[in-house]
Amino acid sequence: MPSRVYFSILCLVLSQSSVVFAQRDLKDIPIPDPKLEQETFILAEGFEVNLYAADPLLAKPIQMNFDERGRLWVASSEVYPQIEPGQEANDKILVLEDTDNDGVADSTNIFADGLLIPTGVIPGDGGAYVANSTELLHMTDNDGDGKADRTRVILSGFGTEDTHHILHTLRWGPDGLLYFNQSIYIHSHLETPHGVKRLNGGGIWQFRPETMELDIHMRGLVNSWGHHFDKYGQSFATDGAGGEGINYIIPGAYYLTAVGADRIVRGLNPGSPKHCGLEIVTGRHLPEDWQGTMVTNDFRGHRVCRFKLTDDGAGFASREQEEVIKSNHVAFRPIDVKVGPDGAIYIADWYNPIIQHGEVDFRDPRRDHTHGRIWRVSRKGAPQVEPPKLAEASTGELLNHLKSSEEFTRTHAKRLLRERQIEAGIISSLETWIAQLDASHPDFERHLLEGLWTYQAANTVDRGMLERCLNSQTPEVRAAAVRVLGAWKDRIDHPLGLLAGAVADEHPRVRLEAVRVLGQIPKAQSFEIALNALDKPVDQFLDYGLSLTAKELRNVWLPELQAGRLNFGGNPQHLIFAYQTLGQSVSVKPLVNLLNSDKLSPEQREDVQSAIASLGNPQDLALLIDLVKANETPTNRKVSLLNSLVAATESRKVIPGGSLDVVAEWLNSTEPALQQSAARAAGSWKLDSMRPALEKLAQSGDTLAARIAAIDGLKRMGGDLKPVLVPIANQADSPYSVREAAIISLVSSAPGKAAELAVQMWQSEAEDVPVDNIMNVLLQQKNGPAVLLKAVSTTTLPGDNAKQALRVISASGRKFTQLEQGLAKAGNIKTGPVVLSKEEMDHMVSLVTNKGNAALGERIFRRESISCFKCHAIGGAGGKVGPDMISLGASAQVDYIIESLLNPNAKVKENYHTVIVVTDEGKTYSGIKLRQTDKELVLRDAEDKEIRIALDEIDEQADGSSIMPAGLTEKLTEEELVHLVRFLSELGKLGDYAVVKTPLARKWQILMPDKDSRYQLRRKGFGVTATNAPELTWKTEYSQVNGSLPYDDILNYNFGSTPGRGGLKPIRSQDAMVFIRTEVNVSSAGTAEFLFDSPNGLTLWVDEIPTEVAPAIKLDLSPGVHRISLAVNLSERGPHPLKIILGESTAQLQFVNGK
Amino acid sequence: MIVSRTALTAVLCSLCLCLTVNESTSAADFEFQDGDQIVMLGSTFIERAQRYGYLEAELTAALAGQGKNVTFRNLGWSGDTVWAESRGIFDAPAAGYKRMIEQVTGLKPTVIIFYYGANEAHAGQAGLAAFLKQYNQLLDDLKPTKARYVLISPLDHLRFSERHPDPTDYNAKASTYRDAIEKLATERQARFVDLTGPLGTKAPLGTLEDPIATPGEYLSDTGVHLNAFGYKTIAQVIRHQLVGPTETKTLSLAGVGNNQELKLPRVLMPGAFVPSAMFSVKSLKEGRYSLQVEGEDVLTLSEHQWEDGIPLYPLDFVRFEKLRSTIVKKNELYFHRWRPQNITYLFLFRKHEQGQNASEIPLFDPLVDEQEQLIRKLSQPSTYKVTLKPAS
Repeated sequence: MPSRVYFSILCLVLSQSSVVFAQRDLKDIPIPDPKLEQETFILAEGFEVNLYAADPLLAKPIQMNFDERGRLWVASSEVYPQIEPGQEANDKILVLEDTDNDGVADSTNIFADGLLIPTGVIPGDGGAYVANSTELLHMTDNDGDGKADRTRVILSGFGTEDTHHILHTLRWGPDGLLYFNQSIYIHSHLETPHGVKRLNGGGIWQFRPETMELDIHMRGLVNSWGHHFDKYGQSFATDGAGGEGINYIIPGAYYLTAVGADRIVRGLNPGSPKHCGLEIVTGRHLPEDWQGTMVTNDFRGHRVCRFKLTDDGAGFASREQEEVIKSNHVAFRPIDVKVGPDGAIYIADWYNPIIQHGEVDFRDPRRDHTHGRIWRVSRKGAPQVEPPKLAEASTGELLNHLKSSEEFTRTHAKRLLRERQIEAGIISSLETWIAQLDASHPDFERHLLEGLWTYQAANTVDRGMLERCLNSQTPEVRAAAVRVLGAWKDRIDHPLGLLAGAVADEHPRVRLEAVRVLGQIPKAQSFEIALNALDKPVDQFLDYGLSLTAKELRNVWLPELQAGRLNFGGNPQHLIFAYQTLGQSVSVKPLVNLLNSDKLSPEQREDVQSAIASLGNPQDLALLIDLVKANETPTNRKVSLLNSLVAATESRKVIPGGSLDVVAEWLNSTEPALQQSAARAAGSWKLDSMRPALEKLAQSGDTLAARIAAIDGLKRMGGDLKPVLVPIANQADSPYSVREAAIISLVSSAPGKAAELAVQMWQSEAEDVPVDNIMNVLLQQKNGPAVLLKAVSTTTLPGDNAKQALRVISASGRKFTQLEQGLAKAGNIKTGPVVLSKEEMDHMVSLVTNKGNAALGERIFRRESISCFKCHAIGGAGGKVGPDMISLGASAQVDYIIESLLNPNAKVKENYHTVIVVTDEGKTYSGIKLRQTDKELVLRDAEDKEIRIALDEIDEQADGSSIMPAGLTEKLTEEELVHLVRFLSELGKLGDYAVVKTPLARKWQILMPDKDSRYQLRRKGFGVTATNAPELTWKTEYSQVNGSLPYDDILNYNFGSTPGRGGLKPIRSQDAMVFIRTEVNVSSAGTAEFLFDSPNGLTLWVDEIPTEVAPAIKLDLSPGVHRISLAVNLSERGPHPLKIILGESTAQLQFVNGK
Repeated sequence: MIVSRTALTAVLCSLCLCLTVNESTSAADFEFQDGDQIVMLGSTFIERAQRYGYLEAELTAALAGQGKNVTFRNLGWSGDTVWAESRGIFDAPAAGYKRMIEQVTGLKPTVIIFYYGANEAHAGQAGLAAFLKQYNQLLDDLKPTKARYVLISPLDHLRFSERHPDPTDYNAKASTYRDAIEKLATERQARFVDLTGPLGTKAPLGTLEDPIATPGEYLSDTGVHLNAFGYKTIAQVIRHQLVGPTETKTLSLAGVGNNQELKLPRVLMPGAFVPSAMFSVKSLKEGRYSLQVEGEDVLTLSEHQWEDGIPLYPLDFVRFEKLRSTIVKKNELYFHRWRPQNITYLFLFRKHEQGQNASEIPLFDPLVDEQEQLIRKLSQPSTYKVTLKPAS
């Protein structure tokens, strides 16, 4: 029997709670027997797993790395997540050894203890580097008893603001340098001989221990617990809190959450679950098609995943493969992965039913502090690699090991060579080895690269070897050599000459590397050279790299450009690109000159005009007014120019110079879009003579859009708006949107009146009008909440409207206790977070476990009225305001899911708390912080809109709470809530709601069967649905977790008796049709294969071209966004799912996701 | 008490060393007082002093020897500058600066020891004026504490191998800052401590090795910061400048006999450059004699050697180490108190999640106090009962 959950829970029968409690404990905490855990493992075809080591030999492994003798060093912490007062910090570095090579460790040695949450260890320089909270230590055992007896502090000053973000992921690079990472909440200040190096937020450091040179390799990522290099030295990272799979690391680039970023590089697998650890697997033990693939862990979904990368222009595309291991064991937490000296894959299993310490209490008794395992995955029947004897090898032998097929061997050999260089020098041996390399060997060029890296590791510059690699036949070797050139840029003559060559390289990755190195050479000339990369095709990676270089070098090239000493060889494309990277007011004289010249193509002309609008001074903008005037300018261009001029006024307070009388003419235009833009322009530019015209348009314009634009224009113009707007707001017969616009426009000048009008309108409207817009504007206004409180205190409101208003407040992340009480009273509702007692929670958990139905829950999740998709995506499709739910169930315990739904503020995922900003104009904004540059702060509000606030306008900034409104579950019965929780708790677990690895369409648009679209279909046939016809209205829908678009959701959109194909055939009632479409974004051209469950009942268009449907179709696609449109005859279709899967493709493409 | 023979021999070798320290004093007369609450503020040099404890231990022991008991609070933060550039965390440095001023004031210090300038010096002459202006501001902002100020000069960078970066350029800049800080100290009636050059001698520190026990040991492992030996060394330099030079006191036993009392002048730092106390026994007959402490032989020497005297700190080795490790422990507990891990969840913008655990943090206070009491006890000069008897 349905009942409102928030009170029904309170009435639950509590008598059996003690039984429930016991069951729940049993269920949540599995018996920690490795055998039971191993039985749940499903291995990749042809592989097997064995237990290499387990508790009590080790507890809580965090990072592991092998040494050159094949011993496995493990950083382990029982103190994590937080030391307790009185507790002795005694965390350890363990060394496991498998002396008889049987794949099972037979001894553990405690190398070091007394540590505080050591999160990384890597052997090197005669001992091991250890990440120990604020410090990077180097520990050595000088007396040979296996225990560290000397500890050197190498660096200190790493932040510890969050113990799962502290210094981690130690890695030796192919260049012999040490890399280590920190995550989002960490602020590090490290003193070196070369100055203080600071990094706020996440990033990867690059360090040469013997010279203490420390640099930032990249910035950002939420929690990058995986970093590795491929055989050509390109590096990749995974993110334990960001859901974009493999991230391709461009040197110096900014990634998700990077502090100070105005643009970021996205991951290669958007919509992925979170990943921890990364190993690019190589070696003779593994099959050919696994070579170079990337193994990482979905620690929430209990999976060890594998991705295959292919070239995509300067960067890469990535696709998930069959798992290495999957399991449903709730405590299997794979977090690190390494290929061992025997060629097998080793997986560190943190073993814990509870992960995370933000959402889950530090002292939650379910946290495991004592167990841990290392699993070893090997290929059935394949011979092990004979572990190389590196420790005893001569220098010559070590050099030969650089040719090994195993990355393990190459990396350790290079590291040992570097160490020998420090002691005794290896250069003459290196020269001899290079001279004797076999030029006919298929990997000869890569062997040369290993030689070049060895010079770099040895900190010895060799220009000859560098140039040899820069001229390699293999583009990947050239790209790697450019990076080495970057490291040597201050130590060789004329690096710019070499870079000029690389910028013109045939391969985009070489160009990208060159562009990035140029960003580190602070000369105007560097930028001039970098811009030559525009002369060959530019893809997203190269475009990013070049704009970053432009930004880094801005202070050297911009003054030169403005002084007229730099003109990029008169190349318009170069000049336009340079300006487009600016985003700040500067003289645009060179652009104006360009506009007045005849050198521009039509596309370039548009780019120049846009750049002038966003950067120019009043005189420059006047030129654009002339363009809007010109007859030959097409209307849509006029509109976009006018809009960009209005935007310039709003953001930079610049008004076009000269006479603006012509705006009056546009206000009378018969082109609706131009008229609307003109209304806003007249207001923004305070053209008071046009006030009467605006007022008239507001009162009696032909269309809603025109009236709203005029009202908006009046608001911008200011002055006494009440005489005109109050009557409009009061017009009971006017559409809601017009009255709403009038009220919103009154808020800043007459907030009290606006609140009063709003409350009157909500009172008289039928239930459920959208109150969000007015509420948001009132909340932004300084005294808005107070006047609203006054307006509601003497009246009543329809319950649903009051409830919606309360949700807007809660979504703002701010607290207005009195106003909330006032609204609740006016609406006669009881609302807010529901807090369950322990017994109630236990009961709910047992209902979810025993009665919950995930399939029913998924339908509830998809229900529009509770708007989950508005903020949350699953697998990348959906809103971005809240976290992606793709593997929620695999990480979160049922009670935490329930609590998060009933009381969203109790737990907030990192990066999803709100920031509240008060501007100097007294406006208050709140939202999730997206990024902050040195100029502006960008928030994402609950409506998924970006809010940009100039930093110098910010008066106050404070932290708010969750943006997820409390009370969303009020529309659910208890039974429905149980199903919903069950669904969420299944997400990412093995079974029907596991992560789908195959790329498939998840975001769709569905045609609304309204009058306009019926008319269009009748006139133009089904083909019109493949066009951009503006008369058609589309609605976004998302696939189910399994990838298919559910029929029961789309039946509402069927056209019933609409005309058939060609608009001629009268349609029978069984010919019910729906029209759906989805998009793919192609980054590299090629063939793409799309798989349909069945062609039955489908008519297909690719872009606007009718295309034959088959179970598998192959298409040649050019770069850019392509649309796949389907007309679905529901009766012909039968029960086949609506689903499009991406098959084998040579093109690089992704389905377009998001909201 | 057990002291190995090797340790003693090493200690004996050090006797031949003589330390010269810079005797320059600044305008301000400075003396620690009984009951001083000392706050140390600055960058990595201060922060990392906690790890080794020598600086506090040496000052605590020397002052306790004069009957003065003091406490220390270490508020060092790596990479910090007079603008508190390391202290903003999620806020701008200015907010961190404000918090720092509040925190220092809240501790009610009577003495504040500052170590700033080492990081700022990278900016060279161009950054000097801004640095001095802000240093003055900092001293002004802490004026309400009425604490006496000690300003320490930046340390030089070291170079002990070819692969280390050449510190000449930095050291020249640091020297400019040192001079400016000295001048600032004079203007502000603050006490200046000079660390330029090894042990304050202004001689090049570049290749300095451990002059005492272990050949090949350096003051620093990285060229930038001190290691344990470095702190042990610099602790004596700072003690010398702030508390005064060591006066070697000679204690003697009245010949062979049981359970004679030896009262030490202070807890002795093992391996100090200048021993605080010597021990000698005159008028012994020819032969070898063993020194027993609590019934256990610790050292056997000839009558000549006993007459010449030996430094006393082997006796006190365990005592000093106990004091030092207690200080290290106290600082660790205090660090968890004022700069706890997971501060984001405990006190900052995610406190709504783990704020309940924030109540644990004040529980460090009694633990810190407990260690303070132990430090007080351990820092008092000890009296040993010793026996000298002919070697068997």
